[in-house]
Amino acid sequence: MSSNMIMLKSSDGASFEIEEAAARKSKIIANMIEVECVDEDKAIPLQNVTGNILALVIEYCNKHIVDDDDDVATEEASEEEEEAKKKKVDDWEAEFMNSMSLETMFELLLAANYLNIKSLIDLVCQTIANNIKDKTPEEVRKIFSIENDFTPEEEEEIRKENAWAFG
Amino acid sequence: MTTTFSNLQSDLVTEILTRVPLKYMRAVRMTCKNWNDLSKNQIFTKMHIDKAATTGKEGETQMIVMMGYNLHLTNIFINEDPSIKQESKLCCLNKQVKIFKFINCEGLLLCILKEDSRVVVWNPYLGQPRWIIPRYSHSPYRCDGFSYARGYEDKKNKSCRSHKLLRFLVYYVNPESDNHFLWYEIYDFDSDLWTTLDVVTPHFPHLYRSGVSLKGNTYWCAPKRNTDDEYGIICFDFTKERFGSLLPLPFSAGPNDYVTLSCVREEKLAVLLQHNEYNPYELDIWITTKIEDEEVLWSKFLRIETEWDICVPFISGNFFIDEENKVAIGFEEDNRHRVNIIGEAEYFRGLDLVGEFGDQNYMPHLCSYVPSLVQIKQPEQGGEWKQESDVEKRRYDQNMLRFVSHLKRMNKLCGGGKRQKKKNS
Repeated sequence: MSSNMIMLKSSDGASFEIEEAAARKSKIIANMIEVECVDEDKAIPLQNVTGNILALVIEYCNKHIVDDDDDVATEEASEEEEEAKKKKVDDWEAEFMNSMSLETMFELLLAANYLNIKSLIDLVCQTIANNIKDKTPEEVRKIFSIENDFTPEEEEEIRKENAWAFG
Repeated sequence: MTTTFSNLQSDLVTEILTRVPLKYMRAVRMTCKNWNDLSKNQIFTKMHIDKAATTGKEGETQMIVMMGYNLHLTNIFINEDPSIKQESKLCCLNKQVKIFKFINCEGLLLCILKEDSRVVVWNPYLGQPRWIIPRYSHSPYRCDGFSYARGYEDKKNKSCRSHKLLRFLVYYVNPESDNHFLWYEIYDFDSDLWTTLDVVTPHFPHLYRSGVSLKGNTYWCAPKRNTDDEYGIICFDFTKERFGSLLPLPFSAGPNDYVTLSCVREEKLAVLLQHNEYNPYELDIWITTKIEDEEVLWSKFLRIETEWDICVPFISGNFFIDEENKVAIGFEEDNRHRVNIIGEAEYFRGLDLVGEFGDQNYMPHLCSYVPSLVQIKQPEQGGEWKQESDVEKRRYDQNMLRFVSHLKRMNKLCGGGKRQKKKNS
């Protein structure tokens, strides 16, 4: 496996060096590489991603770079080894997300969406969804700064519509 | 400026909200207009239900348990060391309703209430209940003897199915005597009208067990005519609005046997054969490989046979099967707070229902549950109000007269005068 290095440049001018294999986690960057519009000496400018978020994206991609390489190797790996490996990744992801504020999560989600990194979108969406669980509408509004835009009549109507539900 | 939901396009909001477990949907819908509108979108509901189905842990089955006049969404995990977990309780925000009986028809629940003569059909995933008012109930409460089944017409197109409710009363001393009274009526969800049915049932559906709903029709175990102990299955076809002929079971059951029907993934029927205390060493389950108007084919799903010193646990009331794990699940006979799981190689496990399940009064009931996308329309308010036809009015009046005279005759036979007065008042 060649370990070509690629340069990425954030919207606020920070440059990051990343292995091509890791950068390919992003469909957008992978496409750029395919059509050879990547100049080896120049950094790829990412206008919608700030440096601190790009650093997180790169941390994620580097951690998951092994996934694709391992597909061949895992054929021989035992079920237990595979399970242990999966648990390790899960633990890492939990730790990774745990250290983030909600605001960072949303910014990371926008970046993952812009760069088209499916597994990262899934991970962030699931983590945000976990923050909605087990909470009242008031609590959810407070956590995510959502305005209650129902009129009292509408609120009553929604209550009625959802009167019969599991909860 | 902080980044939050308002910065996301709706497809990303959908990605997030469809990962919130089903039981928190009420809170999601009540958070803001945007979320409420999104959650009603067909693409959203489809994604949500699909995700819920795939993210479940291995060996996990979702079921609904009726206990303490309430419904409980419960997860059961089947493996070497199975477990059970109460997820949530049916909540009715307006008032506490007591559910006396329920029938699951592809994720839509038909509920008979304890202190209300109305019946309610609802989709627990989507919320909205549809209340149905019977034309007549001779007792203000549920103990009026009527049985119910729900089904639908037009099986091809899910979105324009015509939902129906069958309600019937069967009184008989014995099937051969003239002293029986039958009353069948059908309610159409589209027109909001009841119609009397002239159905001739060659075999009386077993009244004490609810029917099993499959592909829009309902099946019951029924004894063969002239016999009390030989059973087949009978189907009410909601398209033709009549009963089919008696279909054979894969075994012949006698007076010492217990036969119970169940539905498998809305595709097949399963039948459980158990025996009384003289033979607690065998249990058999078959599932259908083909089921049509006049033909049914069965294949053996599970056979348990034990040595003389070990009894097969008894499943009381209804049951369901988990095809993948090859087990049957149902209540224990003497302790309805306990669920039995029965599989091959003496895989017998008993799980206690711990949590707020309430009293085990009356017959508890359980079934597997898969959320449904099917919306139940509310009857049209105003607009084209359909009226009951004169013919139907006459038929209803005739039925009422027949019913009253039947009750009188029965009372005479039983020698009771007091009850008659009470019932007719």
